[in-house]
Amino acid sequence: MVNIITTKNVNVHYGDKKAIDNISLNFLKNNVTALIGPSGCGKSTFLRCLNRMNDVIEICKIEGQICMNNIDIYSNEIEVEQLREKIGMVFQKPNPFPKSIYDNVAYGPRIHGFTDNKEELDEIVNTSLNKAGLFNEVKDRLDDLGTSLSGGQQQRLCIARAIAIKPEVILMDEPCSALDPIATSIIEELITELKKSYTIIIVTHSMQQAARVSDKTAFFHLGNLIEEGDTSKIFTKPDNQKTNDYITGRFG
Amino acid sequence: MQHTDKNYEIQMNSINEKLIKMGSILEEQFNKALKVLSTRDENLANDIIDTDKQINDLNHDISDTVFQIIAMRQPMADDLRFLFCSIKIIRDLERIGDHLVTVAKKGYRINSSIPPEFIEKLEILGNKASVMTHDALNCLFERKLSQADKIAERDDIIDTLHGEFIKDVLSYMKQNDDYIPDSLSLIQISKGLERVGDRITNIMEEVHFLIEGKYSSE
Repeated sequence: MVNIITTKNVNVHYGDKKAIDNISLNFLKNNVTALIGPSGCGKSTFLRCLNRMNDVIEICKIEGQICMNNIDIYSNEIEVEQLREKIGMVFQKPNPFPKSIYDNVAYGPRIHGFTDNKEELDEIVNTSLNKAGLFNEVKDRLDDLGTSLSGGQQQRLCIARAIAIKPEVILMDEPCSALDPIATSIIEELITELKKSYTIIIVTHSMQQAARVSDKTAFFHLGNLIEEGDTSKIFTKPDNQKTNDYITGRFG
Repeated sequence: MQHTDKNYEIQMNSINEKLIKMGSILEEQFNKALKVLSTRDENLANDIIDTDKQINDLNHDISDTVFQIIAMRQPMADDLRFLFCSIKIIRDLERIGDHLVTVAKKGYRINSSIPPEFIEKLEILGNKASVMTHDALNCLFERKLSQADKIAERDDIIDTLHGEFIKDVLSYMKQNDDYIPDSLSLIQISKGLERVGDRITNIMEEVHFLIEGKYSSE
């Protein structure tokens, strides 16, 4: 097993407030890692460090080392656009562009200059929609607006959009929190399928979801990494009492 | 630390309380069953048979509550291990109750001409099984494995005593044709008490899983 992302002694400050305290956590290739913890524990902040989403927040200061494939993603030689080609992201609320289903998926490959060839682009769009488990539902209406789809379909469209630029890692920030149970099940099944080709890091408030979809789980509390390990162990016999108390609903 | 959801806390506590109740009824049943052996008191034997229904009811009651919690709460970690452990040990506790009913049913009918040393040996066996049950349940309620290893050793002692007792009763039977039915009852009582030791060993395995997250043999 190879680590695709390694992080070492990561500290994050928002102004005077320390949001992440000296976290070192690695992510195995083709694994699903769940980040869990109560609101404000730093899990989303940490996730957003992994594709430099925090760069746009002026008061945010990041220390420590975050490497992808042994290359420091915060080094001067790394262009953030280049990084996000490798690390895609899916957000809590489905956010398709106000464009056609086709253009939503084709947008990334176009701006990253993958191809201008219509046939090649068609192939990328179809494959991406297929991998996101959406193709059969939308193949006859690719010109319809992405925003016209149901919530679950929109979220899968966002996953297709992320896949289209052939990333190695997909970050998911509570991807199912706005979805109903069936749409959630479809996304969870998709996550299990996608990990064959991608590494997935998911932030979730649902303990059951973390238990269902992830191979590894990391528990955050007050900006600290309390415990990480195999999901099967974390949810049955965690080593740390705080982890036990959180996942059994004793705080948080 | 208590669960944030008070209703969940109440449900989990109720299982623990019912297990304690099951344990305390069994302890009483042990005392009465051993008394039946020495007194041949039929009324006391019937009392044991009637009381066993309470143990069966608690078994079903705990089972239902665990089932509800699993369906409604999706328990995790130590809660999940406790429920898993509970659902398995109540079966053993219920069967210990059945073994004590056997002791009662057979016990009060044993002919008073049977040599008293047989009854004394059964009482020794019964006391060992009773103390073992008490200690195993203490491990469960206190979540401590201090007695765990000794429990397995004590089961071996019970097995040995049972084996020796069978030999003694068989040789007595050969010489006393008239007492064959009583001798068979003695053997059944001894076998019941020996099975209690096995049940307690099972329970300790589950308590080990509850505390350590794995079985002692792993």
